[in-house]
Amino acid sequence: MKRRYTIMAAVILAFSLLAAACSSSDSGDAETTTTAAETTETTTAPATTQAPTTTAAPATTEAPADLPPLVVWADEKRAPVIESIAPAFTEATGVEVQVTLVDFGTMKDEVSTKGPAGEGPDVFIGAHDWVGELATNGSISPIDLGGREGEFTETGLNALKWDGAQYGLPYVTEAVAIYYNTDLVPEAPATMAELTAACDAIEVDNCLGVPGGNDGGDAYHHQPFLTVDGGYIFGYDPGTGFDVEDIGLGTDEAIAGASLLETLVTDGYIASTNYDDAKNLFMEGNEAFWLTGPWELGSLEDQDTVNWGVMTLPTVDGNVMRPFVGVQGFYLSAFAQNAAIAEEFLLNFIATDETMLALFEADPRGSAHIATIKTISSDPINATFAISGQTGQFMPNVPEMGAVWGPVGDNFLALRNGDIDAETAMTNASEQVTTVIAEG
Amino acid sequence: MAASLGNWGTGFWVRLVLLALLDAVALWSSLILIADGSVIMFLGLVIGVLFINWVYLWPRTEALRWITPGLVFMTIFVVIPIIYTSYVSLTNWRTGNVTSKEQTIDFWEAKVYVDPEAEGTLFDLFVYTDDSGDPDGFKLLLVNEEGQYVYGDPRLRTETAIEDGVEDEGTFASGEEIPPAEFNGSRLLTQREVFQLSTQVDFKNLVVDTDSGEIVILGLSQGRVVQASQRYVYDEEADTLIDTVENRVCSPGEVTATKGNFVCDDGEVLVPGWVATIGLKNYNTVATNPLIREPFLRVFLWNFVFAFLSVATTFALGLLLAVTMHHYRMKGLRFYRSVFIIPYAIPAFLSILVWRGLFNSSFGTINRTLAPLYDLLGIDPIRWLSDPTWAKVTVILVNLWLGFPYMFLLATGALQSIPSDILEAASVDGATGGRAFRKITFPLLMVALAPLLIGSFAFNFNNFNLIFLLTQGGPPVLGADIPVGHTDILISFTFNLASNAGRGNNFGLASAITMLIFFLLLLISAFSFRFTKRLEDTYGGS
Repeated sequence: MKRRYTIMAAVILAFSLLAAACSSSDSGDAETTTTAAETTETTTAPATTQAPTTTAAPATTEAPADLPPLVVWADEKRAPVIESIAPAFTEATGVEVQVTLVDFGTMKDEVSTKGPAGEGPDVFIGAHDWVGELATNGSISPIDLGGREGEFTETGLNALKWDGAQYGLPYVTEAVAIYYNTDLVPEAPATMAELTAACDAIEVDNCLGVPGGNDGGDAYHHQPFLTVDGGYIFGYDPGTGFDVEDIGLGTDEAIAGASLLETLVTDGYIASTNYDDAKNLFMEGNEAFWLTGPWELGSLEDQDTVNWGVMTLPTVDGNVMRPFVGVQGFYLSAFAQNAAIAEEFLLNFIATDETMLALFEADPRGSAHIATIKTISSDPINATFAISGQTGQFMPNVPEMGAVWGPVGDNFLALRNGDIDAETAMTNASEQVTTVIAEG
Repeated sequence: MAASLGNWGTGFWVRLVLLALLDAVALWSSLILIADGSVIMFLGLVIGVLFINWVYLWPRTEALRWITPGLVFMTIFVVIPIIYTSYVSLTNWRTGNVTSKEQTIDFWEAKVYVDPEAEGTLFDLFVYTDDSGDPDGFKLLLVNEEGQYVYGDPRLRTETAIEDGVEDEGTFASGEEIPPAEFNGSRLLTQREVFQLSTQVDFKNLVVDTDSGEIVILGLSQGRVVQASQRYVYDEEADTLIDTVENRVCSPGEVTATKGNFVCDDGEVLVPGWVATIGLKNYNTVATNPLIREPFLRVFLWNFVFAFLSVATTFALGLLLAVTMHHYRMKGLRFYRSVFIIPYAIPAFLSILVWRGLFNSSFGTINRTLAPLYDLLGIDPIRWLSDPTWAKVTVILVNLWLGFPYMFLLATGALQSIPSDILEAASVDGATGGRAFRKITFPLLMVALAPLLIGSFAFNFNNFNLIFLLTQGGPPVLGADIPVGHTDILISFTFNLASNAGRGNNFGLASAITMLIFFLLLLISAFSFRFTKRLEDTYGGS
């Protein structure tokens, strides 16, 4: 009896040792994992050259080490562009570019959680309003544009600044404008009074389509109304950035802006539409004006039901509506295996006229690259969106914005549904934002 | 099955090979785990594999052999997530505290202080080699816009300054090629070679000393004259960060609020910090912070009502249909059964979005169809998704559509398993129709179905998909202290709290609430199973 178990144990041990040995040299799965482990080892060596002894390479790695690939995370629209410039980069530098598709909506959290675990990207594309949270988490590194600041718009650069440092290379600045149905409204109105007059003259289901009503709260698309009389969310100073203690939602100016919206709602110019309602009504030709951003250009170009144009946001009694400007940029991860190479990639392969134009063509949002803006502005539609980008304020990039979207969207939603008046809406929103920030 | 250990049959060898395979995989993964330094994972793996080997090799473990696969899956998919969640609930894992302590120290040590006054000339950087094969044998050529250049050896910022680092200085004549292919006997490196070198040399930490100050290397192609120094130095002995610019000492926070961050002696808390355990603080927050407690109660009540009504309505409809279908005079059973399964066959994720469109109060099919009725009655159209009460009704209705096929299937199966002779005996005794159903069929059904109803309750209690896709918790509760919706259930409320708290994410707090939900469900289930047991004692065992 005893002997049999001894034999069995011996057989199992031998077999498993054999299998383990095979798996590390033959089987495909095992192969990739082990090489991955090896690369991590070899590359952490130079990364930790903090130790004062190593001016150059440690003596052990005499043969030139394999360069680790440059890992770029991008969403499905931008990834092909990065892939198209990858061969040129590999050709010039010997560094392979690995483009990983990551959904834009989950990018920020993925970077925050996977970066520290060593599974994150070297470079990724993200929105500017992540900069506060990512920098607070220590997930991103500043980059030095090396005197090339002049190639980008000031809004683009400022939006990606945090605590005085420049994080990321801006490449998109986008803001909402108004699409209008040229069959219903031949001449684009310049003021809100002209806009409502144009609607009075025609028979239409909805005059001005604004997302954020019905059942889908939306703070973003209401920003032009909030700002028309000087309302704001957080106080901003170009030197010190946003002041989260200075919440401007409950101010008379903000309430005045919300009251304008309330009047337009009660007078029947703005129906309670969520994002899809506003879009569908416009696409069916049942809406004269539709307030939204350049990301919908594609769906309008794909249809032939309505003839359309784009106009800037109307003025109200001489006041300008200032939409949110969204900036997107290329971030450099704080956990990049080789930050120097990643930076070279950004400065010499991404920040070029050709790549910036290709990125614009892949996803036609406004550009943050001045040469690209000049090229694309020959098209009046792009030029109109560019004007919106210049009149707007860039979205606050502080993490506290997380506490703003919900309450502001909720209260504008209630206002759009006629459940509360402008003053209550703005006071409620202001109080909720204050409490959530204080409590969080 | 006599293939126990006693004989050397096929079963024995199959078992042996499978075990050996398992051990091989385990051995191989444990090597990786050791290399990664994950001690806990390694220990867990070793203990687990030893246990499995023991169970399948030693005699007298027959009972364990049957249950071990179940135990393994339970451990991987139930126990480990719970342990991990409860661990997270004891930490301060949130925006600003996402890295390990080592990574945090690295972060602060990598902070370079640049004197804002001294930011100066920008240089282009070129790398030259003497081709001696010595990894140290490279030199840097820095050229500014005017063609002035510096050529010499760099050093790491952490090292002391080199006295005679600069080998050559001067100005290129205007016609000269920059960079020259050969300089002072050294060869210009190609970009590819520079990149190769960058895996061995930390370029971003290089400095060239000149008479007029340091030129800090910014990357692989640029340098700048600046006054730069490492701002924070970590003192391993004292476990403190020393701020060399403002001359202060920062030590790890002592009190719960600052645990996981360095706190400087002037009171400033350095963010980012690291993930640290903070005891029961998150649970304390749930219990004491009125901003969470108030919505928590409101959400909990609706959550309970929602789960209860979901089970009650789906079960009622499913049972009604099953009983109808069960009648012996029913024709076209196959057809009806197929039709009733349809909601079950469409992915809920899709059908919820479709329902959301149908219930759209302004443009949805339902309100467009009902428009003449509204006109006739002279009332406003029902706001299915944006009115607090109707939104709740809508949630229940959509869940009824999604859930009744499951109950229908269950009830059909259970009905068929009730022996017909019992009902025949009952009818002989005079109990027919409704009375027989109430007194005999239904109690017998409940014996079989009650545990499943409890499971359904637990599932609906955490039915995140439905709420998130249909209403996102909305419509908002107006005037609440913090944003909360009328149809928010605990799990969707927790999700919002985790992802949109005051400053970004708060995984620790969200995990604490998740654990509370878990214990709550555990309690409800335990209580209900007891009740079922009583049911079984009364009616079971026939």
